[in-house]
Amino acid sequence: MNNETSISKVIAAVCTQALQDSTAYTSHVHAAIIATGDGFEVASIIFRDIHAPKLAAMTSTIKALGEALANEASLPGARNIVIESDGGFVVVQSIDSAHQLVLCMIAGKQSSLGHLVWAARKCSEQLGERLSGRSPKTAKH
Amino acid sequence: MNAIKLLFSGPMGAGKTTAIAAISEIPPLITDALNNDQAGYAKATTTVAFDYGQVTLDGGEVLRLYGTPGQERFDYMWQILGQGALGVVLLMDNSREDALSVFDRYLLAFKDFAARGALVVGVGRTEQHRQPNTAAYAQRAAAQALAIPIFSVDVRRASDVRLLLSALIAQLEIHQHNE
Repeated sequence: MNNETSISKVIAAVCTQALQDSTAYTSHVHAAIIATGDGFEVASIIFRDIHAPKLAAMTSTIKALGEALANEASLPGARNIVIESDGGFVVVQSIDSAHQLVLCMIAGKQSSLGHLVWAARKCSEQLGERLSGRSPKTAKH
Repeated sequence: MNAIKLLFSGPMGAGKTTAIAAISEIPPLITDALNNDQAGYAKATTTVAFDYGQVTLDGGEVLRLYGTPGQERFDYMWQILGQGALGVVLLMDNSREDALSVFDRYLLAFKDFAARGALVVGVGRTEQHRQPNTAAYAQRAAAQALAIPIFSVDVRRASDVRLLLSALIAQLEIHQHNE
């Protein structure tokens, strides 16, 4: 976590807990990270040789590009970007809160893409509720 | 050449997004995010992917203008956006205390462009911050064995941005002629 950003340690702790919960019930995860919209690492769980600060920056870039492309196609409200590769999957998921955070989950090819997308969405929704003080009943699905 | 790809680069807050928006004929594509690094530069948002705009020259050629993110943590975008680019407009912010050392780092990053005459420099906020002057920037470039055009500009003015583009295109034409 970069100490010069405006994201507090409390938020970072909440994010770390959310990543721990999410990766506990998702198999073959290589890395999970939460970044600010401008590319700073807030929290991360890294199981492979992946440079977390760089992943944080790239996560924010991919999120911005995905939103820009969707908007250009008159598809507002973009929530996630999925990358399928021979080696596995990357899911970049927006977190609906005033802090404009982004979640990135990376998993190997043995994992299920459907489960990974579901896990990323669930983690994002729960974090959005905790960070915004919303009750789970009013969360978006 | 019917379409020419050019980059606008430089540190955070130098005016890359502003410069492209000042001259683009189409609504510019902007990929801004909330700026969490107010200590680094106090502004509301910052570019995290790229800006994009277009300008058509009198001869019909279309300039495709790409603005890079300024922070060095996004330097992978400099490499990606640099592919196929013919030239670079490097914008500097003279209000920074470390303006010249930042200039050194950007010159190094875009040295291939500078060495083949495909880079011009626009120094902003010189009216409020007169030092370092353009000669000081030229000396730093000379220290890297580079001779490049350096202008004092206000990129909020479209005429200043066009000046930079004209200088860059003239440089590219001279280089093409000499090849």
